[in-house]
Amino acid sequence: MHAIWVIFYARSREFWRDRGSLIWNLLLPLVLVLGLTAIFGGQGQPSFRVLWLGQQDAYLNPPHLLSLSTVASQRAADIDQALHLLSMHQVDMVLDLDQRHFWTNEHSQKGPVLLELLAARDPQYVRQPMATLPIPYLDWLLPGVLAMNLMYASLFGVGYALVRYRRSGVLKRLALTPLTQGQFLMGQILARLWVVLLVNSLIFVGLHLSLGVGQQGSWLLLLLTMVLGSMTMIALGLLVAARITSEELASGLLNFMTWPMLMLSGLFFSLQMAPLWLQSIAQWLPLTQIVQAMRMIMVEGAAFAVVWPHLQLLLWQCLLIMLLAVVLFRWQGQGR
Amino acid sequence: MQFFFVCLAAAWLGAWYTDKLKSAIETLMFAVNLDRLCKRFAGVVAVDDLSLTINEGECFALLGPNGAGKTTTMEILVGLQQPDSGKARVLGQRPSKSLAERMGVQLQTTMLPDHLRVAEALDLFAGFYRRLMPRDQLLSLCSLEPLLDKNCRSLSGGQRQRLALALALINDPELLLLDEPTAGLDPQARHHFWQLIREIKKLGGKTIIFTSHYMDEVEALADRLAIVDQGKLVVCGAPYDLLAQHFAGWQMSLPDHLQLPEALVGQVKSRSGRWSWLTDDVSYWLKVLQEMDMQQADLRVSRPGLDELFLLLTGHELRD
Repeated sequence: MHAIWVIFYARSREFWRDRGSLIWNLLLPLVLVLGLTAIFGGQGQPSFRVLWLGQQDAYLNPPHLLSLSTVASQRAADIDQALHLLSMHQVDMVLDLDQRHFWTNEHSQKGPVLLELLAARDPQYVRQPMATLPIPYLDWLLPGVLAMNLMYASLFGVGYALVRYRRSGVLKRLALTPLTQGQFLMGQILARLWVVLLVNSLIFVGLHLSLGVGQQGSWLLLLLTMVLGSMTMIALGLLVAARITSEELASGLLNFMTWPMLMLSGLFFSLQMAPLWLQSIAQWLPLTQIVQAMRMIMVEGAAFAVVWPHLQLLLWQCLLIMLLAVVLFRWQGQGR
Repeated sequence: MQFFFVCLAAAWLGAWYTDKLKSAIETLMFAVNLDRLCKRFAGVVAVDDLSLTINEGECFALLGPNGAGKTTTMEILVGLQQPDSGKARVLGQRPSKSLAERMGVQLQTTMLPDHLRVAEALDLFAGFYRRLMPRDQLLSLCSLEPLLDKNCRSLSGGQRQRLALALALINDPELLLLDEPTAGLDPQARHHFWQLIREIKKLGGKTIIFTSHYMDEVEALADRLAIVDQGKLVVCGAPYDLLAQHFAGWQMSLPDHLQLPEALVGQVKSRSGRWSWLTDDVSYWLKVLQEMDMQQADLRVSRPGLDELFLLLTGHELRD
């Protein structure tokens, strides 16, 4: 019993004295709760997302469906964009109030429920076939899963290793050789990059063989996107690990970065109905760019020119973060 | 008036050049030059006004108890720490990364990335340098041939230190810095390590600086030594010169559970379980002890060593 107590005491001391990770452990849940409240307004996420089209006065007599609290609705700019979002599983239904038409995605689980809800009070609405082939949910999900895996493998792979190297003294020994910071960091980046690409390729091949998922776009463009995305995430990992010596703090910081990106990137659920300020923040997160670019390529077979704005943003972020990481990097922690 | 200013300028220039010339000559002659070096950590003085010169090609020891500032001095020499004040010159330069190509360093503990084999660790470090010691020579010098396929984690303490030494020697450095290379090794491994250092000395052309808190190690290996205590230089010189300078005659000692000769009672203190005293006349004390019927006693007669020197100069023992 005493042995357990002394271990407990020593570990608690260690944790308590590691101020950095202590603060993160307190701060992270707080930020998460505040962030989630901001995103979902404290009422929980609406179950259904509906886009509607129509003249200004058409909304004077809306279908009863739109007044339900479980349905979030928004006016769409034009029909093509609305249907595109529908086929991408970003919204669950599109309504044309003037024509009394509606569209649902036949691959969506929510489609039939909404259909019933609409028919119960407003049976005059007529279902329209979708012009483009709707995409199976798995095809829509796969780029997101690959992007998420890419983020975790890149961020944690370099971040943890670097902090461990610094803490154990590996970096101290390397600092005494002619090896430069740039050479060292580039070696780390490349070592992680090929692992990330290999793992993602294996996952894709596995899913292709087992579930028959495929992709529409250029393999080269997909590779380029994944390389750029992975490099950006690795750079972020290097930045987090540039100076700290505590693995716990590293873990806290890395989680702090991955959580908002997971929530806001549109990876699992759409931000279509989220407040605009949140959507514009989301646009600046590297994971959002990666997910969007990969979806465009894999689902829609987008060409280089279409994806380029996303890649460009990633490229700038990657260069900026990497520059910061190299400048801030120290071989040793503070003090002795 | 103008003439006065011209003279002043000439004198100033002259002085400046002499100064330059002097420091240039110094850096040519010395492998390491420390001038009034100071370093403190959060209120603790680690190195206190330390001035030292270490000649090219010599094997130099920094000797002192734990916390004497040996490691901090080493870290300043290799550029891991910046001195708070004072000047350090290594191979004619301020310590910096640009010296890494010409130096080899063995830290107190050498940490390597996980899961590396010995041969892989050597390859890793060989990749950092332009100039390399031939691999065969390196392996035989550090007797690493039988260990090449072993995981670095599974090495014994002595083997690990030999690998660390090989990593320090891999670029055939002009200056070899070893920080407590035998700390924590058993006597056999320590003697083996000394043998390696002697082999390296035989190669010639290398300046070796090592720290230690073992007197016997320093006596066995060092051409010159500096004793440091609480960050300050106590004394510096060749071991035998220092001993000859401070001691004449012999040291005699007896286990402290025995009766001391009458004349010594109150004169000598017991340390490490023995009464010990210095004398010029060994035969006199032998006679006294014989008369006390102590022929069987564990009497030791020796030349005073660095242990005694340290005690004499600092008033306390090297290891408390």
